[in-house]
Amino acid sequence: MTSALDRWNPLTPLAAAVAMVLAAFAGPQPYAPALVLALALLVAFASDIGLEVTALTMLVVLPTFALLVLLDAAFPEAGSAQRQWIPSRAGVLDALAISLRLGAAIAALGVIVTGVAPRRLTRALAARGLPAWAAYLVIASLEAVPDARRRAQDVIDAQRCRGVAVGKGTGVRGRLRVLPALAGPLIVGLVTESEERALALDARAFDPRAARTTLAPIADPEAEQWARRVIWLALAAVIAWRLWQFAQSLTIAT
Amino acid sequence: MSFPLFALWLRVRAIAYDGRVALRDVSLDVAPGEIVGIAGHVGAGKSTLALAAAGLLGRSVPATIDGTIVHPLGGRPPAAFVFANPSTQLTELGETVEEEVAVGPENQALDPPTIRRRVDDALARTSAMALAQRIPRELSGGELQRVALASALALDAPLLVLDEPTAQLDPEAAAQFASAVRALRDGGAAVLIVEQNLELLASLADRVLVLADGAVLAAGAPREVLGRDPPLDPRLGGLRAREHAPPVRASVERVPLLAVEGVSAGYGDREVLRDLSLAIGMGEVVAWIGRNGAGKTTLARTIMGLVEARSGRVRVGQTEIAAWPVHERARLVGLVFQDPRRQLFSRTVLEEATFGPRTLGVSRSSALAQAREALAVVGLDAREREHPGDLAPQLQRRLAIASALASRPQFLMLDEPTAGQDAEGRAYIRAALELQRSRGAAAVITHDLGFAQDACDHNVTITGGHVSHIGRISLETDLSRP
Repeated sequence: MTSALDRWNPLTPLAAAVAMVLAAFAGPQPYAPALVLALALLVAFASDIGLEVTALTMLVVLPTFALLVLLDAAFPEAGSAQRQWIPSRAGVLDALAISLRLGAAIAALGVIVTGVAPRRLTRALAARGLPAWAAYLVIASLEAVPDARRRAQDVIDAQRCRGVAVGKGTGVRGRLRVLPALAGPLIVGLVTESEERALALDARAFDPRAARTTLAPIADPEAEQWARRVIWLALAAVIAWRLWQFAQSLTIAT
Repeated sequence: MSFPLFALWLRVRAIAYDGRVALRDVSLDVAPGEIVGIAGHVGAGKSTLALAAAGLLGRSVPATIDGTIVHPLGGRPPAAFVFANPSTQLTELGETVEEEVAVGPENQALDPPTIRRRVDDALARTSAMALAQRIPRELSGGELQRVALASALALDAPLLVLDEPTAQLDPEAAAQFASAVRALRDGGAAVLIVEQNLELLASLADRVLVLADGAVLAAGAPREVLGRDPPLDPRLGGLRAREHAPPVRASVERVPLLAVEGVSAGYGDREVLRDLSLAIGMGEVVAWIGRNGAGKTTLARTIMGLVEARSGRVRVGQTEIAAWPVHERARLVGLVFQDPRRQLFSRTVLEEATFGPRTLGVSRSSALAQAREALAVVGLDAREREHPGDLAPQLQRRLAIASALASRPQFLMLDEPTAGQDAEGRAYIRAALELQRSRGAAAVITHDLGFAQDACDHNVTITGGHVSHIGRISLETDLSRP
């Protein structure tokens, strides 16, 4: 997978995403999360991953918003004039604020998950000292689902060739009956495959504790290194400002 | 203790898995510039010896070793290993073939220019340069095996251990592979190769070691040891006689049983079968041969209904089955995949063989009878109470064939059934095909032209997704006739 983000060292968009998430939570509400959400979606659309990131964000934000409004309507605050099953204005605004923050975080991280190739990211992190086992863990986790899906399809194909009916029209009893024939080879296969993968890694001189190099080191131009420093500084400034605000509120309360 | 200049110095009294001795009293040295071959029947201990020689036993594979295994030339790792099944040696650390080949040198913490040089050199030596930017998971078995060899070569280890490396290769790719191995030997590499293809082994190895039941049966010059008549071990077999004549078949009734007419099929935008037509008569057993990626397996999957035909017709007898779902087609057609682990799930071998007929609605008593008959044909009747997972991979493959036979399809397709099989296993598979011949017809997808000559009436060569030749089996392109 390649995207416009591949022009950057993966650490730069990663730093930006982390900073945006923290800014969305620590910055002035609701402007900071709204700004972060807009910015993340803008970057996503500019990188040709806008639809995926928007879908991912909505998948989390809409149910969260609906659930929070439902909770507000179902459990009105004791002693308030709010009638049950009618959401209050404050409740809706709170739900919107929480959903907005969540949406900003999902969108910012979604840009990284969707737009940055995991192997590029782990190579960049390895160059910064990420141990081999951690890099492998990241990649294996990302590959686990497609691997299992591929193997499951292989098992389904093999059993269909033996007369097993799967899919629509098979009914609950039919599905339960064929479950062992489908789950058995899948589970055994996944276990066997992990053992074989360990052997394959061993045969290729993989040492989880040793440092690795890379065929194509990821370029890290000085401008990007400075950009990341600025991002971290800005982030530190936002956090310091929030801590100062918190300290002020404690002083006033005292 | 001092060692002569060997890449491998192995003195083993016993190697055991969970207390079960798999190999005993073996001495083996491999010097630089030498190819040593290992032969033996299924379960003889060949893979155990190969893993031990590569230094992988006791680490990734739990085993107890009583003896000494030394790699006097050192190296990290001291040996590179190529497995029989190429898909199991992908590390997944690389996204492209080039990156996958680079994994070894990256683990050796080499600098990028050295890694680049190693990768390019390994890909060139295995004729895999054109695959450099492909995604490994999308390659055919043969292409993947070349990538596996390239990945091993990129380690630049003093010893190269190959465990049945040509099982998935077409004859041309196997010949290229053999040339690459010879070139390595000539360049000073030490090579240990486990191979079931005795002709290939005899043409490659400088000397061979024959194992039987976990011990050394014989050692010496390949043609002398493997060419004995009668063979040293009937389970292993011997070299094919050059004057071997194809068997004469009794005339069979040529009623068309399977007809494929103008079928096109593929995956996504990629068209694999192009307007392919063929017919197979009642009582025929044919071999479908062709290069890796030619479309043989896709043809079988299309007949079975796993791949949808974009155009054309498929008939079994007078019945058009193109619109039938796969599980309905299973009443008429059977397909046994290369990897039997996709389907084995039962607690016993007998239950596994009974599953197909029971699923198709056969009564329990009839299903048991059909399963027992099929197991006897493939030589597994004495093991019907064992767990399928406890069988060797070659026996699991025979169990998968028995399971398909037990369902009694009219037309049966076997995908690379002889990969890794010894002479005994090949004889059982041939018997299975003869049983199928008496009931209908069969097709064998194979790169094993020797088996095709022995077991099949004629071959159908598939090239670029269509039938390019139909005729008698010829060994002209086989590795035994370089």
